[in-house]
Amino acid sequence: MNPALLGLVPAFPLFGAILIALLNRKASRVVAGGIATLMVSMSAALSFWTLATLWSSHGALESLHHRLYEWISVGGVQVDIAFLADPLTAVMMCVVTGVGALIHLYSVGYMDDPADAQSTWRFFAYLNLFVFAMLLLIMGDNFLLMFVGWEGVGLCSYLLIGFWYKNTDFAKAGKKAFITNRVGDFSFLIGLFMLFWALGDQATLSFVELKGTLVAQPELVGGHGGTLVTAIALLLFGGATGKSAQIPLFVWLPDAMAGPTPVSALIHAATMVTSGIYMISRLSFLFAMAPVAMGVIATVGALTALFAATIAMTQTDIKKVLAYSTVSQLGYMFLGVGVGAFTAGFFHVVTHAFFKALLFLGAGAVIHAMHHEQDMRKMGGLLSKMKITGGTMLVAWLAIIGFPGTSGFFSKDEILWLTFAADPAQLALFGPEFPLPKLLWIIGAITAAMTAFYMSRLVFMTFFGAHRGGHGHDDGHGHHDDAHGHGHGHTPHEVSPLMWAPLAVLALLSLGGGLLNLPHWIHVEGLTGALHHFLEPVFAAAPMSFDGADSSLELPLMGLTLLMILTSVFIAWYLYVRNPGDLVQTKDELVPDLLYRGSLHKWWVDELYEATLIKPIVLVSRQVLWAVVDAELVDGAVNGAAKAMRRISEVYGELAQTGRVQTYAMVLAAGTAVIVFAFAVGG
Amino acid sequence: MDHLLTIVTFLPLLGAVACFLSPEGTAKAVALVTALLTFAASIPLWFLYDPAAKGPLSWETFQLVEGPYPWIEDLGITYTVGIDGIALLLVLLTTMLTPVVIVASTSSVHKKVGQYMGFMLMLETGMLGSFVALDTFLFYVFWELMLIPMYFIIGLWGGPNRIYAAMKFFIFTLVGSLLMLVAILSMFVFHHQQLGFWSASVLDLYNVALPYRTELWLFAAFAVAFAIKVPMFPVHTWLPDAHVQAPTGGSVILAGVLLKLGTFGFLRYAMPLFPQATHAMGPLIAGLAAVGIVYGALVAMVQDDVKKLVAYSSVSHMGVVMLGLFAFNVEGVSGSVYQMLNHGLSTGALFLLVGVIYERRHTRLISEYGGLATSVPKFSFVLLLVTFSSIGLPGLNGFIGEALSLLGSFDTHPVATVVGTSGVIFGAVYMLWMVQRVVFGPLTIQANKEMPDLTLREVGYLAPLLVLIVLMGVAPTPFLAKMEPSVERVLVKINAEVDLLAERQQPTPVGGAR
Repeated sequence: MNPALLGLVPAFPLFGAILIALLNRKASRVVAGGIATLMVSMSAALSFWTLATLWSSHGALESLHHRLYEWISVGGVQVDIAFLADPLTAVMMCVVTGVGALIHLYSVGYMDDPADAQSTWRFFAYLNLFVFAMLLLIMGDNFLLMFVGWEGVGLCSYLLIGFWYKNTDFAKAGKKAFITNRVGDFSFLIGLFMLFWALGDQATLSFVELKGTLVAQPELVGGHGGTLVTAIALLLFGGATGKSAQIPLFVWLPDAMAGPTPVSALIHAATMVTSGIYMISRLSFLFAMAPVAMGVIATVGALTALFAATIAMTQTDIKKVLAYSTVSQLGYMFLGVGVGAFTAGFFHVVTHAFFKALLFLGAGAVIHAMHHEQDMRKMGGLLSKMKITGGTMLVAWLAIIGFPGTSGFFSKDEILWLTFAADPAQLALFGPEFPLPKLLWIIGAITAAMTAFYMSRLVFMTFFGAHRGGHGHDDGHGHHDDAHGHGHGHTPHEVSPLMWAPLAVLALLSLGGGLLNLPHWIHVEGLTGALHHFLEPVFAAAPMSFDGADSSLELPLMGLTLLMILTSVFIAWYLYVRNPGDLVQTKDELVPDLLYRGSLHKWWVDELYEATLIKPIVLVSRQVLWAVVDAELVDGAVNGAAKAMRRISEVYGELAQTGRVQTYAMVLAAGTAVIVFAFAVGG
Repeated sequence: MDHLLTIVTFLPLLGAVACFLSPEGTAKAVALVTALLTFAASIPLWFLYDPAAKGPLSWETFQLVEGPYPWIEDLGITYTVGIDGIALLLVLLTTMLTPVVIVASTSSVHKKVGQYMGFMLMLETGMLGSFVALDTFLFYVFWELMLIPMYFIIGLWGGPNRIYAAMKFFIFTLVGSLLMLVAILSMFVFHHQQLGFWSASVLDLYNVALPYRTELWLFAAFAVAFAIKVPMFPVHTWLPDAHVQAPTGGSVILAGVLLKLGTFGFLRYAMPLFPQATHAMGPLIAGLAAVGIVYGALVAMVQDDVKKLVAYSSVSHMGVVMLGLFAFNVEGVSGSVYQMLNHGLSTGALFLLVGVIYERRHTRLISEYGGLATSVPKFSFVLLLVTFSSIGLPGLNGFIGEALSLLGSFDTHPVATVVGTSGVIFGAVYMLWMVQRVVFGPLTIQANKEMPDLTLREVGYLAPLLVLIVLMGVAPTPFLAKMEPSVERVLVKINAEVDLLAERQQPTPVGGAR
């Protein structure tokens, strides 16, 4: 493949976005959606070609590179608009454009609400713009171009979350997402500045050059385990906590569900939110030099996985459950890359893109069929009415809970095992002796059990039992905490083929995605560890060791996790299918009130931030900075001077304009006289 | 072509006279034609200026030089003009913005149009002259020339509280100007003492070597004048009042160009004239700049008046420019100059957009708007684009200037830069909150439902700004290439003596400027 073709990959969706914007209202849903889908499909075709080129070279071809033009050139900042496709990029390109194309196609069916007819063109223009930005993020050969994509996807996320901008809450959710991400970006930028100046004469923003420099001269950043490299790694990771919704910046993602459901699937599940993991994988050579930072990443990942899972247990809005589940799964990915299992973490990015996109699209189909109803308490029994959607959702459910054989089973298990087996010295957060890996494994295993519970709860409440549905709500609003009592309206029915076809493809991928990287204990020539071998050159500069545990423990531990998962599924089945009648009572008996309410209210994190950060800052800005510093201190002094000035001009004449000019001339003359005097004295 | 800079500089003044003399009806046309001719005449400057010309800071590094023509020979004062790459870009910004402002003003100014246009053009000559002057006294004359028309534009065509605002603007600026005059005249004397002849040429004055203490005092005099103009925290309070009271055109020019005279003054005069003092005061100024970034953003956040919000945002943005200037490295200073241009474009556009809705609704209260995306989608799109330019979205112009300024200053003032970089958060907060309240949400107020969208004329005068916002984000290299050699040469002057000093004091040189 000619590397020049790389430039076309992001160019197609950009062209699509511009074309749709130019057509604007003249483009109907089908036309705009058709253009958008076509453009992303073209990118997908080129992406698969890129992947095939690299894969078939068996490592002979390290990467493809294409430089378009010189972007910024000043001092040590020499940055091109240039694209780099190494194996990591190529896989991610395929995920983004492949899953992206399916979601675009699905959206053509989904966005058929007559109320949106005038604005569907905007939806597809934004969606194409998103794919463009995401491709810049992953294909950029330097930090700044990656950052263009990084912020660009944030912009599209902002625009799409607030797509139904007439609803103030939705517009606010978009703003919250952007600003929370900016907090992360602040950290990212400081880390970047630090790295840039640490390199001195070798300063570069290009990934390839940086890798070469750091491998050759690790002392530039303080050497392995140095304070400087640790600080840089932690600050860059700070950026990842924003984009990839980790503690403490995860709060924007659940609110982001205000966007249309295909957006949740594409941006807030499959692609954009994995940018942080991608960034760390891209810079694995740097992060591997900072064991303390790796320990922080793994710990934050594990804790986020657990924390988000506790919230997902009690949510009743189907999209909110999936949102917290995404936060939780992203935590797994960070756990993976944090312990140094870069391939495993990235493998989970890929499989998660399949099954989580499927879960969201399936949920979207349900919401669509239920006329904007998102409350699972009003669903139930939908499997018989929506066989294809329900069937594919069941596949995704099996994948996310890690049922043996599905894609999620392989990727999650690899992360868990490598966490357990990681050499404690390479994530030395609490010193090299502390058994952090074992502790993180326990958290990961518990989270796996919780995931099995809440995902089973979601599937059971939605598709099994009796239909509890009322009719839908037309306001597109997602918060229905109080139950409305009303009778049955429309009967839910299966969605159109335009929508279920992508579901079917994703179901196949969710089921078979594990073939990409079969574990060593299933030996199939060419498939065992395939992804691992393919990505090996990318992570070669970040050697990691996983002999912290006896390898004979691998299968028993897997069995243990599996047992926990199946138990959770059983409990969920008992609570929501076997005995759905006394749901509320059971809950009261089983869980202490505070835990239940804490989970339901998301542990009051939003309220905490509001009370400790947002309110005080606004209050101080208004009452102290503006009212006191500006108005009293500075202006007080000036107004005094102004009054004196007015006095003088009153003495010398009326307040007409000529008077001012006279005053001006007079003061000027007086000032000059003072200077002359000063010189005369000073000599 | 020998006198192109003089022609560009004084053409507006001729037009101003014509405007004052011509009848009301034709003044607009006269002003527009003058402004467009001036812009047309300035375009060749871009092509004539050759950044590749090498050499130390001397006459050759300034191009299209005219003069020196003797003026007040006893004091060595001459008429000398010329441009380096930095002045070139600011001249083009000025000549580009003036016709935009004149077109925009045709719908907002209804009384004494001839005089208004006349003052506007007079102001243009003042601004251009300040950028091209190579004689310090000539610079001072142009600098003062700007004060008078701006005073009248605010005082005669402003809002209800215009007299107070004009007076405040006048006092603040005058205090600074007088201090600067003192310093300029002192430099004349010192130059005469050391080199034996009188000269007001900035290049001659660069050769004056002063004791550290004297430098400090003179630097302070210049710095106060320029800091007020920028404006830096805490001498910024004239700006919100001036902006809120000024008519739209006045605000655009004030934010777009006048403020840059402050930062330009630092770079052309205060810093290279007094390098030791500059470095000594660097931490203080960088600190104030960083405080200004956060302070301006936080106060902008709590404004109810959208114009005041934009005004305070200028305090924040100009803080980034100052931080970049005092980075003392080519990345930071280039970013700073770039950010001067960006701020001229994006804040200029924001004031124009505020003017657009003010003309329709006669209110600037944010609470009076909401849901405009539904009724005026074109306006809303433009506002969003400019907002993202203003908050430095990568891909648009603002990012290049902001990132380079902050990157540069991180090496020199890491703590101040960390504080200043938090502006990327607060900037997003106040701008997006404003956008949310003005553009999004339900359309509840009847007058907003009936609001007409952007007219062809409005699209016409906004378009050049929008094109540049995108172009300068996607392809900054041509602009950076024009300025970089000039920035490097000024830096050589600013850093040279200080490097010598550092070497003398410390046997082993540490880090230092790259």
